[in-house]
Amino acid sequence: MKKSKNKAIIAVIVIFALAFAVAAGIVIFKLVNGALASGDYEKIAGSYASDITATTESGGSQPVSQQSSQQSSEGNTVLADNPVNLSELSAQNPDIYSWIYISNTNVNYPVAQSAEDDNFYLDHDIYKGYSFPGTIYSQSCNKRDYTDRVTVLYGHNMLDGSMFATLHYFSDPQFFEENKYIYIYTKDRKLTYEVVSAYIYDDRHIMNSFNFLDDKVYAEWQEEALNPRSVSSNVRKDITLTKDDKMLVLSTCLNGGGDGRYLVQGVLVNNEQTR
Amino acid sequence: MKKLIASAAAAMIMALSVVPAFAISVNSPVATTQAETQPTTTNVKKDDNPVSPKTGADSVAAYSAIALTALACGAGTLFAAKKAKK
Repeated sequence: MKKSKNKAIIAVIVIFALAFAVAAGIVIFKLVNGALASGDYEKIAGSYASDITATTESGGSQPVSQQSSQQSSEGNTVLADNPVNLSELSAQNPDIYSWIYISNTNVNYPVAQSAEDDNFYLDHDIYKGYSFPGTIYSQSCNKRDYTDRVTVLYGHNMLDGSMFATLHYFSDPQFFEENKYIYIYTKDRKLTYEVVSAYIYDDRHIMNSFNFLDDKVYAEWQEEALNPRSVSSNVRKDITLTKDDKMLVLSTCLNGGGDGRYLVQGVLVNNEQTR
Repeated sequence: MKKLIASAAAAMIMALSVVPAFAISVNSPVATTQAETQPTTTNVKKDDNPVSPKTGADSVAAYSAIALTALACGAGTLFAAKKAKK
């Protein structure tokens, strides 16, 4: 009787030990996969967008106007530099169509949109292999040329600070004040978005929940962006939004779990052709 | 005889409909109904979920499992050790 009781206890301990091993294995796998992916993205940025920091920050801090074409003193159109070799990247994977960069964050990544599955890049890298951090991506409800009223980009909130984790820097009022712009490079354009607000929102799917073609709905969304109900929000006060504005929403999960999403919203203030 | 007249009339109507001047006056559904343009079909697996994609990296479930199983193993081992002493 005593022996069988001991055997039962040992069996329970073994079962828990196995469960422990499985859970630990999952965590280790995710950490290793995440670390490898971070290294890969650094290499990709080094290979395809090596001068992005210098190029963007030297010429991109003074937005002119939408659809702008800056004129030189001779009257010729001055084209902006494009530091991203998107042609080569999209030759490897046609799903890659733009690049996102935000100063003083780790956000410096290619942006993809799958032609097969809207959420493919949630857990796949740009080479279409499994990757826990995935890729920064948009869904097929958004056009690839950022001409929709609202374009949403998704990225993981990685523990190592990669992907969209450093968007949470915008919850610091000083950082929010000092870092005004989000930059998007397409093959032939440089789009500059001024950060309007950063706040915690609920977990509803933005593009599936709002019909932004409706002026009233779009106006309400913009009103929400300027006056978020979230307690920990930061808003740029001197911005007014109109129905002609194009907005970019960057979405990631919250620190410490929870059902909400952390959103950083920008409005297009400069749309330059690149050489 | 009737069949012959009917087939001759049918042949005449068909022949006349080829002439544009007559064809215009004939309300042919083929000629007047505009073909509906089909939306271009793509094979994208659409995300029609009302909830935004989960972009969290916190393995809350896995970490909880680690903590719970470690606790259970520890408690079980202590219990077994105490029993063995007795």
